Amino acid sequence: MREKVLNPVASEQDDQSEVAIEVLNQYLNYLQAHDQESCHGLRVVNPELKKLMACLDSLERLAPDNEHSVRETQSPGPEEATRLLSKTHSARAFPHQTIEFGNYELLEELGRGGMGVVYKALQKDLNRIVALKTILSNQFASEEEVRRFYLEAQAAGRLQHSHIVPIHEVGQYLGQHYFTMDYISGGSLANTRAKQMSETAQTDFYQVASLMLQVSQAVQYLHSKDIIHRDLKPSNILIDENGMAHVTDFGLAKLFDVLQTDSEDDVRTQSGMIVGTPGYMSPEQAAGQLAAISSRSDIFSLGTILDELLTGVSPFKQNSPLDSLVYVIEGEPPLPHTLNARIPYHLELICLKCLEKDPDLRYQTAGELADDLEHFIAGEPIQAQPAGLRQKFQRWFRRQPALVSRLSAIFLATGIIQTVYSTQGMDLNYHLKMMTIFGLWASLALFFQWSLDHLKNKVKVRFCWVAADVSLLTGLLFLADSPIGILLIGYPMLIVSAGLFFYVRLVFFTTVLSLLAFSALVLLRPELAELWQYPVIYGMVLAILGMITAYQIYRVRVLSRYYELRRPER
Amino acid sequence: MSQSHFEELIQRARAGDRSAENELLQKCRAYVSLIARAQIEGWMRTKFDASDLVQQTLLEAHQGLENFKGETEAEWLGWLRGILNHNALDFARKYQGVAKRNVKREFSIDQPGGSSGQSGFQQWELKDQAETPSRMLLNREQEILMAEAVAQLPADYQEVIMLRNLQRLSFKQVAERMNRSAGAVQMLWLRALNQLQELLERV
Repeated sequence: MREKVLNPVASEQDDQSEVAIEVLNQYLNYLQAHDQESCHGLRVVNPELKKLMACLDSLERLAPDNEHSVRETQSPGPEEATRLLSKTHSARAFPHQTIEFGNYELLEELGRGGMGVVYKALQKDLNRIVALKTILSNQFASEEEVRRFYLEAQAAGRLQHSHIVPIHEVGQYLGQHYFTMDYISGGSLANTRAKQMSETAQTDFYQVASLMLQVSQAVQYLHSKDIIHRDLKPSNILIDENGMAHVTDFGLAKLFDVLQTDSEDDVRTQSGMIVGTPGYMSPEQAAGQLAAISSRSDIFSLGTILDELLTGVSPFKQNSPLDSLVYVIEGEPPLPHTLNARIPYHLELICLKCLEKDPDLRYQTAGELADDLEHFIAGEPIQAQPAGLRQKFQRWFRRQPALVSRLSAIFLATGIIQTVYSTQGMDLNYHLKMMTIFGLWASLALFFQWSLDHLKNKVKVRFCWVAADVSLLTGLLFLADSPIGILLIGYPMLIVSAGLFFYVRLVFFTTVLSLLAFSALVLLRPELAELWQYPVIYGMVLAILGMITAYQIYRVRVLSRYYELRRPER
Repeated sequence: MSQSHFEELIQRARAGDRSAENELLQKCRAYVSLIARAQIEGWMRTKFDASDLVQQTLLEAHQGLENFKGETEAEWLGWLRGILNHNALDFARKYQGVAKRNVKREFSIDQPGGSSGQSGFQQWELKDQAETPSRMLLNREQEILMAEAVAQLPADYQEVIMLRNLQRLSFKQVAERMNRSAGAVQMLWLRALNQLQELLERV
């Protein structure tokens, strides 16, 4: 996996390192110039570098001639005192625990979003506690980030709803953009969830439903104001001490009206980035189909949150962001009740309706979702219907594509053979042999699918599965009546389907194995070698086919790497 | 190493406990060494093996222990730093004589930006390292731990920290001294800082 080693994360880290170096170097310069105020500013703005800055502090104390600086800060002489006073911000403020921030005192860090740090802060003039959100770094934030920040604040500032966190003020302090909003004491759904689910009584599912009802109502309100949230996730849903939900963080809100009224140019910059959190975003967001993003994308995100609340597991979360994205687009998480059998059937139906890949099949508005949740709580019939046969098959296919495609192929093949046997009545012994092999093939497929779901080393399972496929196909071809020429199409099919795992080595493995199996077949069945050049051509075509498939995978991987680089958040 | 443990060591050492005294001096070895190197290398502008100076300082601390009247770690480190400072000045005086004869052409001993009439050496000598009362009040334990952490770093990490942080050179100067590109030196510095922080967290 060469590509993985030279992966995009490395260069992303490089960029991060450069910024970190720049900030730390600036910090050290200030430190060596005894500019405590600027040091303090950098510290506030870059909390993620706090520890390294502390290292710089103590190294500076070791440096030989720093008596001078200590004297200066500890007992300022007359000039120093005036110098300090002349500045807006006293250097003495920061030995204390709280940090001055204009009209606010930052009391503690509450959390971090993709672009900002949220502090609990005291607003001094009104003497009230608020939540203050900042952009992570000031001079390093791009114009785009600043734009998004103000967009978020503007969008949120216009809103008034009992389940939406109200915005108070937007502003700038020492070049640092920030806004303030109501402080919600209980924390977010992301960290209160564990507590809730530990006491799993049946009523809890009604609690979950009621929580989701509040969130859906808030989202419905957002949509009525032409705002799509686009980043709904547990950490953006705050719970107050009364257990009421409040939606926050409109950082990615895309305003319908902006799209309609602004120039085309503006639209492109605004929507040019893939935003959202992998694992909670809808398939159309994950696939970067920006035009397809609508209020129904938020419904999908609500579905992932509901699923997580029910099962305790985030349905689409994978090890890497890219895997999460791919999984959202084409994967299907296990049905909620398979993880927790006590999940009410109707709530699962509601959840699955939100999680439909096709926006047209989801709830069309958050209001509809809210209605269904209300119906569920009241014990009334709900709108969501159990999946039809076709939908069920689709979901199964998405969950276990390798198994379903093989079983379908085996089912079709046996069907045809059985029909031929029934109508023409051939050798029973031969027929039984063929059917046994197909039966074996089907059961092996089931076994490998089971291993894929339950064993840790999925890569090995895939290799074994492919090896089994090639051997069984060869066995069938060996036994089949002459002439088998046309049936040799089976090998290319195996190679191409191995490509569906997006794993170059697997394709090469299948190709080599197929070539070997084919050579054996040629030796065992002399009819194939009647014209010796034909098998040679066939083998070469097989090899080329393998290379083309591998190349296609390589190209997809390059694209996905590019995709990952463009994603603004980790 | 808690503060109370450190002060307990000081008390036991003053009461004549040899093992406590050994432990105390060992704990300060990295600290003394780092400061000695920072002082002398900053002045000589080349690498310097400070082990003799450190040995001398620790030996004098051992011999003069009964003269130490303090109790806190800050006072102890201040006292050590005083002895070190005395030895470093001695060394500088001797070295100046040698430098005049032999190595003056090899190292420019003028400080960058030093005033024309005054040699770098004199400037350095004028900066007296005596402890000020305010300095005594600071919590010094962190400095000992930091010095130990620096001593555990790989050689090139140590060098970049020595040059950029302890001698306060710019990255451009550090790059010249280390014969590497400025970018490479900066990356080295970041890695060194990260490793320092990890080492400190492990304590």
